[in-house]
Amino acid sequence: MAALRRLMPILFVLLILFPGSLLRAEDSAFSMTNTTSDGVWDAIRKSESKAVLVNFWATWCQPCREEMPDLLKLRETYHDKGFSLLLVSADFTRSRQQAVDYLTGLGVDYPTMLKDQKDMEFIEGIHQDWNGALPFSMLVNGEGDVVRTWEGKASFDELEAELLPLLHIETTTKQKRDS
Amino acid sequence: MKRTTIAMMLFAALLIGSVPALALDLGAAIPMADKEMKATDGSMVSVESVAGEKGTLVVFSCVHCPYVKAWDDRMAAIANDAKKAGFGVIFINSNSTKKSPGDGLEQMAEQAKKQGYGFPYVHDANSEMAVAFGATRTPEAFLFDGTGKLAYHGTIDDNAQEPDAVEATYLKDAVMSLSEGNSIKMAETKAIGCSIKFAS
Repeated sequence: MAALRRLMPILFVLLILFPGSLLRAEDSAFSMTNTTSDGVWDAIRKSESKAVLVNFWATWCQPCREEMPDLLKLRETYHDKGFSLLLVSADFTRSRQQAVDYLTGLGVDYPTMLKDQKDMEFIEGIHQDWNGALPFSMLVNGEGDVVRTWEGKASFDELEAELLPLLHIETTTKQKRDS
Repeated sequence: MKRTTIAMMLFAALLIGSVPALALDLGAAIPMADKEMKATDGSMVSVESVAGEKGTLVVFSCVHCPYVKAWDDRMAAIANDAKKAGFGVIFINSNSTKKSPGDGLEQMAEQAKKQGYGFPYVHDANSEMAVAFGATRTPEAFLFDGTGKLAYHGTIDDNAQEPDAVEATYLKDAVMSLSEGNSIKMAETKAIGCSIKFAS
């Protein structure tokens, strides 16, 4: 107990200097939680990230699978800058294991979600821009406002261009490559 | 004028490689109704050519989507009943066979035979109809009334996954309401579906 008391000031300083890394230490394990649209919004609010990209996908959706490597690369590149990726599977609940196997096979080692609510309530609870087609992504800023949505596949460059202003970063990966 | 607008929308969609996000509004007329498409029996069919006295049911569908598969027997039953009740019916597959090779007429014919489609199932090879309707997913239903105005747009029912747990039969109710001259309670509904693989 005394040792813990001695550590408290150090932890406090670390929290001030590296808030993101401490907060994200808890999300370093894979999970797939059943969710409603309210659950998705709760997770966004609790993330305390500067930006969250929520992606709705399914194992049977070919464009989703084509898009997934770009999403994972985006997270890998910007997670330590305050970016979170929230993957929400729209697979049927009976296909849960397929979704788990697919994501863990790609090395996803952070929390994800599985839709467990009637489609119409879920879609309407997420965002008015969504007609129900997969994939669907929405980029949410630190204040919880939706900045941009994509119904259909989005590329790394498109996503990055929208994300960087939220992270207060000026140069895109493409610009770095070109220079 | 309407055709010019649609052509401009299509051209713009092809240029930017995507599709107009907005679907038809309720009350809208059937777009590109005279466009002929090849059906699974080899004939050329337009929406106009199948239009019924009571109305016309247009469903954007495809072969492999798990949501189409989950709903296909229910869609076929509703559509066959609608046809018997005096509605015109047409199912349209707007998936590009370049992007989705399993969505050719041969596979569509097998699907139609298996499910007992008693109506034309056509291939919209260049995805023009989906663009004109603003359809983005499969399955997606558009039900027009006897005067050709859109009366219902949306999904089949509230549970693709478990037929026994369905509580709201949206499309069936819309057909019945229109058939009986009543207003449709839920005229716009949404559901998860596969994105249309546009030819662009």
